[in-house]
Amino acid sequence: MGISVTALAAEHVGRQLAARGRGEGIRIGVKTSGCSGLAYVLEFVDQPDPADTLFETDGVRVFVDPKSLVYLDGTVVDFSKEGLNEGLEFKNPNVAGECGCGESFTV
Amino acid sequence: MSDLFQLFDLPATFSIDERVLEQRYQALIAHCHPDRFTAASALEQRVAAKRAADINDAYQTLSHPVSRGRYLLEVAGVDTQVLERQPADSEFLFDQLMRRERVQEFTSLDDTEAAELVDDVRHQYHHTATALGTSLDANDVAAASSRWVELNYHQKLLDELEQTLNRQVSR
Amino acid sequence: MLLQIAEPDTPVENMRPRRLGLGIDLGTTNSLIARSDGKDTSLIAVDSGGMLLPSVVNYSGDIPLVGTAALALAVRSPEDTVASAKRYMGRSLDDVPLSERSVFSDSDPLAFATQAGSKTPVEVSADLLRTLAQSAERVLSEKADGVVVTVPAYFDDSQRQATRQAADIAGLNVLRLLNEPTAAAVAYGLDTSITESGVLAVYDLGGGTFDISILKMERGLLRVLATGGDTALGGDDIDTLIADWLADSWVLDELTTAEQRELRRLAREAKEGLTLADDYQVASAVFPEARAVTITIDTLERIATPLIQKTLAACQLAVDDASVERIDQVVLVGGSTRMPSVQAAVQAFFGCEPLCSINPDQVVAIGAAIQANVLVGNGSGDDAVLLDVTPLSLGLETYGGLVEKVIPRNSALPIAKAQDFTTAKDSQTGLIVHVLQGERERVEDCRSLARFELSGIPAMVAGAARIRVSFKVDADGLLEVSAVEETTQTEASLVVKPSFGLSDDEVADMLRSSQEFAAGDMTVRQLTEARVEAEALLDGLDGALSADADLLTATELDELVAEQQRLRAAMGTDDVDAIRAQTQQLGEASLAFAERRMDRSIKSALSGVAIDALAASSTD
Repeated sequence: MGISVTALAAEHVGRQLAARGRGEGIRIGVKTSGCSGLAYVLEFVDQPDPADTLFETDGVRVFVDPKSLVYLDGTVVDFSKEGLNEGLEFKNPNVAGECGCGESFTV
Repeated sequence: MSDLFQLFDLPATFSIDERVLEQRYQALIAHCHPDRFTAASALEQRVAAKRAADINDAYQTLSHPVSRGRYLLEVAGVDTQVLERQPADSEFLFDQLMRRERVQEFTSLDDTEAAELVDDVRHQYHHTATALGTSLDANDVAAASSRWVELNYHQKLLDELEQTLNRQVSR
Repeated sequence: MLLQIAEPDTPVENMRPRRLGLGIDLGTTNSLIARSDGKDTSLIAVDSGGMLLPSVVNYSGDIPLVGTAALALAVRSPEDTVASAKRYMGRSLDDVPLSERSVFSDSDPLAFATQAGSKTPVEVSADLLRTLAQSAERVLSEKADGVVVTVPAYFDDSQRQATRQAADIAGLNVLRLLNEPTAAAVAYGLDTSITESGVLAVYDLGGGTFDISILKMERGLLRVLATGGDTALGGDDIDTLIADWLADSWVLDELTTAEQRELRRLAREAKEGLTLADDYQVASAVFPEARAVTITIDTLERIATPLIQKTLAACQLAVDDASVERIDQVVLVGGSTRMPSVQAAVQAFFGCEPLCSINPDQVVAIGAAIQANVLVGNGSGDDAVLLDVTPLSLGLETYGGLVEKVIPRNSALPIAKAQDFTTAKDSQTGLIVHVLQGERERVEDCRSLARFELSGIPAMVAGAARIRVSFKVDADGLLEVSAVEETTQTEASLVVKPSFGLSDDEVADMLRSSQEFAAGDMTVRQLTEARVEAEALLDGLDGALSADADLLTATELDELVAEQQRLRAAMGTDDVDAIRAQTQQLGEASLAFAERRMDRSIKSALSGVAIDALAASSTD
């Protein structure tokens, strides 16, 4: 399965990387936090870790560490606008429940 | 004692905008609270703690009509401790005694009577507070002293009534 | 939830090195420790049993065993196993109900009798705190720079002082004693999420204490409006009631200590089971003759109702005290709030659905960790200020055994107030200052905090002396009282220690022995501490001079610079006393300057509001 990125999201990431001026791609992952247990990590990558799994869609490189991949397998990264805000959205088939604030989830 | 009103940049009058006082208090205490100075030197911590204490004390005094009145009377040279020990006007005391009895039998009153009593006690309190303000701001110390003594009685009765009311609501 | 791409975590995130602040919830039944970096907050597992360290210490061996290890020994050596020490903090034997006295030794201060000797509740708490902090430091591989320890809002001065002492003995740098409900509100982010204003109630039914607090959040200020509760009421009492019910059902009497513990364990299990199901079956191998009984949620509700009603009565008093019209949010704290009947009663009483998404056992420690991170110096500067209040009135004994209140309860902290007294007799040369805490009018109905004598008053006629007694309560709620005869400046003062607590010397001894300092280490430590303090003062003054030197006359400026140079010279030596003396001298010399700077900053803080206030009144 792996991780996939929609065309809109890839375009957004490309723009952000270009604006930043450097970076190999983005890292997505999970960490423990919040009220329901897990939260997403989304950051630029300057130095990939050899243990990372790499997914590439439309020229965008997505790095995932092996521990996180267990929770993220099958996730689609999409781009979305809500009112004035825009950003990436994770469609994760493994999520069992989200907490009220939307910041964390359980699998 | 330095001028408490000055601390909040307010004129030294009884009639103040309590909301403005509260806002200024909030800004000042947020500024001076010792928690803002945990990384500062011991000296700065001490100075901040002292100012924070002054601000809390001043706010406590000025935010309630009874203590604000007491403070202004003291500034005008009245010994309020002596004032508290002097007997109030006997007609006033009699009136107050009657009201107190009504408050104590509050639970046995019917709805109309109860509402009337609540209105009466609150009205008396506000009326007296306003009169105290007028006398104080007009520098009529004698009249202000009498009103302040009365306000003390009204305050006690009001507290008692509010407690009774709250207990009724919760039941 | 839309996500933004963040910069990768790099160690050099900040110019200033991040410091480590830990939050500790020192509970009656369980204790917890947590850390926060401002974004993420996590509990640190310090016990084999998980996040919760049972607040139990066993003193049967050479070294105290803490937590699950102590619980395991409780059955074998119940007499040496101390639980619920928090209930006895700052208390004397007279305060302890007769039924609970058997575990204490006869002497003062109040202490548990164990094989390892008498252990005061303060020492037991110190062992818990030390275990928590040391284990956390081991897990994080990092030393803590400071800790925030939580206390029930209802704790009186003796209990707070005792908690503070325990932390001192454990060798911890206490940033703040924080009230548990305030910590809970911080954990929910209510100090930052409420942008306008809101009134919160924190309902905390823990193992051994019940606390209700009404807080108001407004403009970056989280203020406790009123607190109430009962230091001797909690989930343990529900366990006791269930245990009694079981003993009744099984017609048991004359129980051994071990059997009592088993019965309580069963009771606790039943209570927990009933948060998930409507009935629960209880059976035990320890009581083989007893048939299995089923306890239903209705039975539990019937058993617990008087207790829940007691908590609601305390809620009513707090709401009355706070004079608020409505409560916008209710936060639940404490494992016992998982009971459906408690949640229903709270919701009905306050008229809003309580917040319970954060584990009610952990919420206090999480809030404490968040605040510890701010107070240790990692804050952003615009964090909310948590304003606590005095839980009980503080006063003095006056003529006829009456108490005159000096600081009323629910006064915002810190606060300082003074009261003037005079002599009652001609040529009276001494005056007893008796400090009390409580709401009642008579001395015998209040808690005696301290008693000291102002002596050496010159002989005067009755009523001529002017004795000013000053009370100072700091942000932690700790009281200091001083008395001065103003016409002659005769002075006496003391920091109020719990009447049955430990003396300063005893605390210092324990600290030394606990950390096993060799004499040499102690000197090095003192020198380091003196240098750190001197540097803080010098740095602070450098910054102050570059910003506000215009507040000083040329002479004052010269004088300060000269004092600074003297302190720098002293710091070049290893002379601890000289560094301290010079630090003190520079401190005194710059006091007026520091005060003027504070007043200037106060003015600027006010000028901002003056405009706000205008805007606010014009929109009405």
